[in-house]
Amino acid sequence: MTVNLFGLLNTGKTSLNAQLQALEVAGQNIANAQTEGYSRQTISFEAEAPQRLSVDSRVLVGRGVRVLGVERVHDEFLFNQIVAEGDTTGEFEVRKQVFDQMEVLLSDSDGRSLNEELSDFFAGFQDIATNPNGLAERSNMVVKAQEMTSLFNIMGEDLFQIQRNQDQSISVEITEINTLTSRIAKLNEVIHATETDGVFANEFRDERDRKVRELSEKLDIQVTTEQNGELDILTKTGVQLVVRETSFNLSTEFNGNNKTFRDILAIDSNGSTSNITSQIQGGRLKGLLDMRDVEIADAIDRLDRLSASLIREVNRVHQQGFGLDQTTGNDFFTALTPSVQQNTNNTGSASIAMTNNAPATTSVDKFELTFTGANSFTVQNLTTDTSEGSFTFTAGQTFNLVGGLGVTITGTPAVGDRFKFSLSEDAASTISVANAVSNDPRKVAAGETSSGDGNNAQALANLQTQLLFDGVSLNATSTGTFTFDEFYNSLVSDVGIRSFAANSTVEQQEGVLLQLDNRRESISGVSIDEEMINIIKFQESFNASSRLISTVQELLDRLINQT
Amino acid sequence: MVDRVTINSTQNNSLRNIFRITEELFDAQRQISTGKRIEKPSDDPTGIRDTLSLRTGISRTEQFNRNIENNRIFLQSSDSALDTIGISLNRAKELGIQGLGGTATSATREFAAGEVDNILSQVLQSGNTKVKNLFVFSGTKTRTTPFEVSASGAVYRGNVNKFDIPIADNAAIEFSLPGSDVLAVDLNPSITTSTDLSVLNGGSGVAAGSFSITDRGGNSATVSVSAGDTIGTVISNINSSGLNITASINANNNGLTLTDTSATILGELTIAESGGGSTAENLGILASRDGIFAGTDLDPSLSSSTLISQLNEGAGATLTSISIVNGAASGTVSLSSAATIGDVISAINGSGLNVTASINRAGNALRVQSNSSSSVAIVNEVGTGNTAETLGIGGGRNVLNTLIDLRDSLRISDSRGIIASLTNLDSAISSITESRAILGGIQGRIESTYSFHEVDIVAQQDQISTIEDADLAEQASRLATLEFALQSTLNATSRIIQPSLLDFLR
Repeated sequence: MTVNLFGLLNTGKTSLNAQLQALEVAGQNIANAQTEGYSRQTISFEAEAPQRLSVDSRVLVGRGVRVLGVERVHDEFLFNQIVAEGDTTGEFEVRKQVFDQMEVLLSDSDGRSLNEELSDFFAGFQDIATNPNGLAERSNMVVKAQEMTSLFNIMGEDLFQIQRNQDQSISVEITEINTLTSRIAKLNEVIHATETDGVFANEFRDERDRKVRELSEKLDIQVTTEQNGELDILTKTGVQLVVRETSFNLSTEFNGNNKTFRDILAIDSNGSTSNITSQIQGGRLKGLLDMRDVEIADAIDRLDRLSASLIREVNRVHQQGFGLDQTTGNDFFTALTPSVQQNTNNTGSASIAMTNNAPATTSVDKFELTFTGANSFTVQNLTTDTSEGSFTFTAGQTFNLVGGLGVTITGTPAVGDRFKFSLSEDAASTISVANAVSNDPRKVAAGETSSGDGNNAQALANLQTQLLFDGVSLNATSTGTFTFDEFYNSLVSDVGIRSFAANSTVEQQEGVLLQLDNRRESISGVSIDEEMINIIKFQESFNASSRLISTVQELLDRLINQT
Repeated sequence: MVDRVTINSTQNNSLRNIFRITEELFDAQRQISTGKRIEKPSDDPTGIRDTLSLRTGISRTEQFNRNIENNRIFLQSSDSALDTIGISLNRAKELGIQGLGGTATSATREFAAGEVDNILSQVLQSGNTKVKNLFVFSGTKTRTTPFEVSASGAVYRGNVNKFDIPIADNAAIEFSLPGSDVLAVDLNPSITTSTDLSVLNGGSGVAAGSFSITDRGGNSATVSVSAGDTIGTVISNINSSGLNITASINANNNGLTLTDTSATILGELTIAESGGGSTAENLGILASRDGIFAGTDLDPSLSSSTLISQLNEGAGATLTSISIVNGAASGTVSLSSAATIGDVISAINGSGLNVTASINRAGNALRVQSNSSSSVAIVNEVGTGNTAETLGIGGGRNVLNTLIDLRDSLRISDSRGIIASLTNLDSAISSITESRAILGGIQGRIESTYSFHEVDIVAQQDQISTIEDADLAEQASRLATLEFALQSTLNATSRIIQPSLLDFLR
């Protein structure tokens, strides 16, 4: 029997190598203990294939140790759970932020609330009613009205500004999404290239996980893993974002039918683009779209209709009265003018002109007209979501819609062409006291007759308590359920309720994510203690292997020099 | 299996706990320092809606109290004016009674007449009392001097509308009485289709001319009005002008109403003068309206053709008999069969009592005067009737004319006239007392409403503070609890985070 001393040296060498590599891994783990998304790595050893001591030996002796691989400790299932929570977190964080901004606008803590201004406005009319001849009361009333209109203007403008900010954020998010998807595609490529020869691209996989997680907060994604370790990422509605080593960029396009805000476009593998704005189901993008197109749009709409209703009702009563200068039929607020918006997808040549022919009775709701033929159309009330019916018309001839709007259609419509129209568009940001009245407070029509009584001013003051609104819109016959104040108050409390819901969802998500992260930490996180123990462990092995080598050396010395 | 607890998860947990506690601490501190539980709508969405409603309620209630505070002076001035008038009338009564005494001569009566004249001026002055530069007894025509006295008698120039001021939701109350309820009479006839245009606007009539009407469908027509037309002519001219407009007399029977029936609305219903006249303005229909045009009060004056049923805004009047004393002549005139003002006048003039009845110069009441310069015609009620008072020719509310009659009777030493005047003066005094009682009732109602509002405001504020205010005791104890929690957490964190195997390896 022969024992190969040099073989023993080799065994010692493989062990030294392995222990050093293990120490390196421990060092890497400790170094990245605070790196976000880092998964701790473990080294696995394998005994080298044994050899027979000699050709005829019946003993197999191991030839040392081999590093099998360095693998990250990672729970795929847990990671998928974290990714799945991402879109809810992202969406509600945005909602919370935007609602916070809206609440600042609506809350009365800064001393200027629309609710108070409305009260002051109506109280001003009552002051005039009790002293119709007082110029001081009149001037004071006009100033109060101007304060109120300026607050309407500010709120309308500010809400629009918030809405525009969301739109700009969408563009930023799209850029970030594109950066992330192209990085993920690149990482797919790198990981595939690295792992073809059997090693684990741990750091790249960690980075890709981080990117996927970031992406999951931006929009709703589903992730599938290919056989070769590459990831495919699609939105939940199936829009391709990353397929293997290719990423598909999202882009934006201005939508003329939505205040020229941005729509979101996707491109597919054939190079054709499609509008996916309505297909976004989660993430920050969904939050931004929802806040822009639903929540803020709704608040603006309600504020617009509140001010349009105020204009219509106050003017209606004001026109019937007499000012101190004996004039009558004057408007208190600048009269409402209709806005008509042609759908940008219309193919016909029809254009529509509208005038407000009956300011006292025309509805302030929002409407959409859809042509059903060359001489016919239907009208849908967008505010109450009910049909106003079907109509026929003769081109060039004026007719009435929705209570007194004078409508003239010229040109030839194509079936399906659509027009939106309303009296309340931008009413909040444009409401103002009529010039004639602000220049001459004597024109405030306090009198029922020209004899200087205050009955009409009282009628104006009484508008405050009239039940002019039903649930969503101005009711013409004062048989509704809400007053002006209550209509506004319900706007405030609705925003409050939604904000509260967004807040609690965010808090809940934070809790869920904290738990998941802790779970992830407990699996993939670096424990310094553990690494220290590993270091001691591998150091001891290293020492032992070193001892083995020096023992072999002693043996050789004895053999060579002392025999 | 034992869960691995890494330094990161300990740190994350500790941080989150610390942040959660400090956030709550911040909230508790904010509540204590601002005293408010609700800062933004999401703190309590329904609470904020309630406080907003309550605030509106408070500001309305405060407005009602401000109405009362600012205008209480009208009530007080009315009352003190009537008080002064009452005292004056009693003095006039004394003078009248003295004038009937055995020692009275035409010279002493002449002297008394002078004093009654002073009293008349005094009463007139009280009747024309102003507060905040507004006449208190003019109804709602607060810029018009209500009472005027001239040789032909006293007239009322205000209107019969109540000077109403809102003191609660849907509750307005008059802060003064119109002069027609206190010192004179306004028969305030309504208009009918047969009313002549010449009697409108207090008798100044309607200028002949033409005006144009444009209906809401955009059709126009010119309507002409000539002297001698009636309301009916104007209405049928408008209705037959081929426009989508129906003209009629309004529900109060004091003006015109134009109803637009255009199928397609192209603009406003507009009425404009043609050729720079003032016809449309005189008819109370100048301007433009979005739909129904309610014309203004045309204030028709009395004419001989005015029906008794048209009086008092069309409510009519019940006439019985009156008794007239004119020097030695006296008698009862029955007016129960009179259908028009003309019938009344001819019944009185045809009584053979040498008196002339006429419509007063304001066109809102009658006046009976003697045809002889040596006697004064005095009209008394018969029994418990009030016909004379109603027509403005007797006592009761006709305080100024009663004083004038007494003065004139004294001046010309007409003792029958003095006796008859004293009867009217008595009813005038009780009428004033009655008016003061009404004012007193209003005063009482206003004061109780005022204090009710005060209580209400406090209650509503209380409610707001229940919803909105922080419970300081609760927040203070919460603060203490949280401080303790923070300390413990920090303490625990400092212990958990520190030890590591590294600490023991040397």
